[in-house]
Amino acid sequence: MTNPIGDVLKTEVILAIGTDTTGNHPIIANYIMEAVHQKGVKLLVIDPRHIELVDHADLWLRHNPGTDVALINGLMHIIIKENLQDQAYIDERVEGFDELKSCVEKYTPEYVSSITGVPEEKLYDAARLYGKANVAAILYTMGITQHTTGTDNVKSCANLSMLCGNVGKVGGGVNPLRGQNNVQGACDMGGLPNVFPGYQAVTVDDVRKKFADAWGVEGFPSTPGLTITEMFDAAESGKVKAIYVMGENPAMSDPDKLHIEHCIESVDFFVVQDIFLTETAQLADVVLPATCFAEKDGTVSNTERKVQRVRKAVEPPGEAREDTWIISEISRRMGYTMPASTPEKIMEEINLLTPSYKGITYKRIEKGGISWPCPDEDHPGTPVLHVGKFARGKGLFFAIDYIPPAEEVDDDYPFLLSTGRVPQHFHTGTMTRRGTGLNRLCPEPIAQINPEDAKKLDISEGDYIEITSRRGSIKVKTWLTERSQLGMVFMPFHFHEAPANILTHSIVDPVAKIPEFKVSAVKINKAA
Amino acid sequence: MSMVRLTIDGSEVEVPEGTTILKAAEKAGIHIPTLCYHKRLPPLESCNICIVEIEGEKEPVNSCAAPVSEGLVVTTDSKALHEQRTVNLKKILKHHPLDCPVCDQAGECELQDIVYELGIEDVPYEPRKVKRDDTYSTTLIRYWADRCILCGRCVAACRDLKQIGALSIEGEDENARIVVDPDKCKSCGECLMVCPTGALTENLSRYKGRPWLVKKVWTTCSYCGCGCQFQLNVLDNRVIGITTDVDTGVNQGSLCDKGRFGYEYIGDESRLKKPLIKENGAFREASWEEALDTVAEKFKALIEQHGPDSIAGLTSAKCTNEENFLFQKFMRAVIGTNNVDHCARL
Amino acid sequence: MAESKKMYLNMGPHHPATHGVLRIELELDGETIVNATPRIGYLHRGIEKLAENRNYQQIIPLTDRLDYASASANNMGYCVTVENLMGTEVPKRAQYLRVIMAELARIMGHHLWIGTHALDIGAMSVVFYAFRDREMIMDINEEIAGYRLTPTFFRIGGVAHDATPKFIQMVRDFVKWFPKGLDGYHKLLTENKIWTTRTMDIGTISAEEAVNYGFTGPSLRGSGVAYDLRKAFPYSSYDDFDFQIPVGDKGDVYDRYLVRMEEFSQSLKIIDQAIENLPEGPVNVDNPWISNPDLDEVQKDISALIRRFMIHVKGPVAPEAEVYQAVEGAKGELGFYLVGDGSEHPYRLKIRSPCFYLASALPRLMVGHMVADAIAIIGSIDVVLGEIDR
Repeated sequence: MTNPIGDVLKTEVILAIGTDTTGNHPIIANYIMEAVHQKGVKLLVIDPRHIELVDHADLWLRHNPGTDVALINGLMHIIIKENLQDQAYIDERVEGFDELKSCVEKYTPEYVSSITGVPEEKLYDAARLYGKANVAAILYTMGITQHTTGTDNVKSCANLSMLCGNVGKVGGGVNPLRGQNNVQGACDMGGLPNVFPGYQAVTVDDVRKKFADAWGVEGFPSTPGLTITEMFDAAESGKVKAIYVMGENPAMSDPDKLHIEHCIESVDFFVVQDIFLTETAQLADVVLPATCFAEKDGTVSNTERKVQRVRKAVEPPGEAREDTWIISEISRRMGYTMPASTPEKIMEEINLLTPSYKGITYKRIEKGGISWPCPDEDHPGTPVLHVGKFARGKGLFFAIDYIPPAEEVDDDYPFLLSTGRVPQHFHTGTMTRRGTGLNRLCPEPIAQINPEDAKKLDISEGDYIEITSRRGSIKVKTWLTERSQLGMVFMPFHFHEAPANILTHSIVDPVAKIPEFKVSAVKINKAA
Repeated sequence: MSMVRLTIDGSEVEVPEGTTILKAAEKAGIHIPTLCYHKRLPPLESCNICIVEIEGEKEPVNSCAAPVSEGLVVTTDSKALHEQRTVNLKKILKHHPLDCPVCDQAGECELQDIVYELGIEDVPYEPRKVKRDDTYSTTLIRYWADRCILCGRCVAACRDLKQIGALSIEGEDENARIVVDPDKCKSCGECLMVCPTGALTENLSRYKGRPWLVKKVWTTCSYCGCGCQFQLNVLDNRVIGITTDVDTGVNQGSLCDKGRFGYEYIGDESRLKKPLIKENGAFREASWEEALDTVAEKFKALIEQHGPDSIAGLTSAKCTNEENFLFQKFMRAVIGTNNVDHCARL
Repeated sequence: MAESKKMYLNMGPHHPATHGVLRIELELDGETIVNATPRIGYLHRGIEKLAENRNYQQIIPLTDRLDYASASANNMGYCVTVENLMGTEVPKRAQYLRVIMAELARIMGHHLWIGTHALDIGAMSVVFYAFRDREMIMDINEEIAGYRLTPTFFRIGGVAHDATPKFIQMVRDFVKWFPKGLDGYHKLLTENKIWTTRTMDIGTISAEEAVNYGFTGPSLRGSGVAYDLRKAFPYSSYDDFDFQIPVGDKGDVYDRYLVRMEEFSQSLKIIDQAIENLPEGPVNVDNPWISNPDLDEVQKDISALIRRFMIHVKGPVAPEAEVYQAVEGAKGELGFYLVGDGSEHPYRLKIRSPCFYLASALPRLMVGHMVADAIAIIGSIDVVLGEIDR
């Protein structure tokens, strides 16, 4: 997020696009509720599903899944036509306005309405609502990113925000809500194929030299490595011989599950380090028992980039050990001794090598987190990014054209499947499906389909249906609800007994390599 | 905002207009006993414990709701006030059952605290003869109707904090009770957080441990990216519950159903306890020595045969910064490849 | 000429005559003690630190385990200190009951002393008579509190419960019997030639020196200083009772022996007066924040239940203040320095242990004497390591 969570209380309009906030980020939803109902902030929801936020929204645009770019371009078209943009901000701080202007020229309300299915007058209302606000915040999550045009979608959100001068302002910003406790930190720490910790690119010679010197090795490859989705393809083709997985469950979370399993089976050596014998771990050659968050010390970075402490509360079960110990031991056996042992010592090494984390020490975050960038020990942290000036100097508008989703509905597969989470469970269910508590609330997967579709297919509430895509087929219970629009079915992916990712396709965004979980074509039959 | 000056217990305070007397007193370091008042909720005015005397006014007023005004002279403690508070509290205690020995809230119960604070000595009322049924309980939250003092906090929290409005108070006086709309309730547990008594208790950790026996460890939630702060309640190396604090963290005491109830996996029986090595399609338990040697040898052999790029690593958005740092360092410095990624894309 | 070589003898911590786990490094020239260094700490349990994490009520059992030979006397010191800090005073009946318990504890402590002291020096039979009588007090403890050695009968604001008729009868029986028992000890020791030879002019310390060393209690009085906190700064109604302070003149082992022997009688006198004049009334202060409500009230009234619960779980709160209060323990001035911080735990509890000062004078008392005298000297100052190490 460019801004802290509390900023939604300081804004005038919240644009929630592609985020089921009440379900997936309930605490952020609390803030939205407070903003809307107590501070009088206007809420604009853009989502194909009738999510709960809609009930609190001033305006809801229900567009067809995968048409986000067209929709946002349409909004920008109106904003520019009606001259609602923050021209002073654009002139001073952003480049590429003319290209953007000419690009959105053709996205007239009529045209956009025909693509997205949103009535024209609603487009006008939305554009005026967002455009006229002095400050407005955009919140988005995977509804924006999990498309083959994910990168385009995100850039479009940034375009819209910059167009109205909302980036680098208290109460504004473009705010992706992070779905995992430390997805921010994993990126910050260089858990990415193209960058070292602190987003220092592997392609830069000086950066490689700095890390080589610090770690006492000769050098590093100068080309970015494989992304998660590419890894498995490379495994299938034999390029990758071994995969070492720490605390991930790709066999459940990655698209086209059957294909992933096939890829994993084709590697020579597969090591999984986890707390449970997950679907992925079952395919491993060696499984290493690790510790969960309650059994170790450390830090995690939340969606506001705030680095906060995790503290050890209980002893790990059996012989399970800290991940840091396991990595250090393997490393030592391979002839490289990791000098830092305790989490605090590792943080000191991070401070040295990562400019944005330089001033974040255990001592300082003992009482409360600090948001990076924090360049030195006296720096209070940076809750709002891009204040006064963009990180790259000037902001840049991207002129982006609408591209339809990779897989569109046709006669054979007439329904559109979107996957996501339910409030009661988390991701691949490894953690939430263990105890009795949450399982009692939500014991099994339920597909949400529109009652009218159900009527046509002769399905009644609670019936089991068979959902089939070009990849595979699963059987699941139904819930007839207006939440799903006509021709759409929504399904959570937490459940190993009916893994939604058997159905999804693995075509990815060309830049971010993110799979299109939100749009797959499927057909539905009543199960026998 | 214009400032208002007033006198509380002889000391002068300056606060912004619209502040309540309670908050003004807090600023002046003067403690006024409260029961139904909750920092995050609007004034409920159901307990009448926080009453104060205002010079020139006949009746005492509820300080949690009464706004300050210029020149106000407030007395927060007097014999009459204490007596009135005692009477008001005794009325609340009237039907409260003798449950403390079996109540999970005992020890962190705000009703107990206020009874002790005011030194209540006897309650001259006959308690209700018939035990009441539990009218509201989801699978995770239990409602003990008899313990309820009808302060209205849960109703306000559900309505104002969560905008769900699943709870309401139905009935008059003796028959009043909390009623839930099961279609609306999402078991988020916001009502649990605010309940001052043991009327709403978590169904998972019933009878597992007393609050004064548990060790409380502050940590960050392991689910989504909000980064909520809470305390793990640990007894005998087992996490038996989760508590929060209104003043700590982005969550301000709130949690979602996952955060509040999803701790059972920590000590789950199915946790991996030993390294496993697959032989002929089946796992067998192995020692750490053997498992680590196997992994290291295999990696070394593959690097030699096919080069470092034949190995790929997936680090985790569920692991800490330190672990992620070490993992990518391992992949880059030890293996020598940039093939490292995690599930940010999924 | 033969050269004398110093010998080092390690006495304790397992030596039976060191009464617990005192260890003394003796430096000997032949059989003469040239130097002695007491080493302490073998019984350290961190009582002062533990106290910082307990509420005021919960600390009482810890104090039982200071001078465990006379547990109730420690309770007295601690409870009076806390009540001082909280600004409350216990009812008269409780004060009298406390005096009875404390004096019984003093007698119990002296029983242990006379038994072992005599045993160490070679008078084998005294211990049996002393322990026979000590057993009677243990039974009294058991009757009133359930525990024999460490009764923990005191509470902040009073005592655990009222005296039972049986208790009163048992105390009366003891008061009636014990002069005979005491007479027996005298017959065995006081004019015994061996005893007087072993104890007279051994470990002598002058009044001035004793004061300078921080001596208190019977050991100080043995040197002729009539200082007793029960008279000097009366607490718990001690000024209601008629009793004398026995003093010695030379300050040797025998004098200290005589003082304690007389203290038996004086304590008995106090107990007799207290039990016969036991006032009527409650045994706990009338304060809803301190006193436990009765059990039968608790079973009927929610506010009583809650208060009982809170007093046990949270406990009474002391103001932000500090206080020093000392009482006459069996060994001397037992002082508690208590700092309250407005919570239910003390911020700091420092215990002034009389035995610590006595033990620190051991080198002064021993040097120049024979090894065998070391045993007599240790016995005569009557140190208990539970209190020194804490």
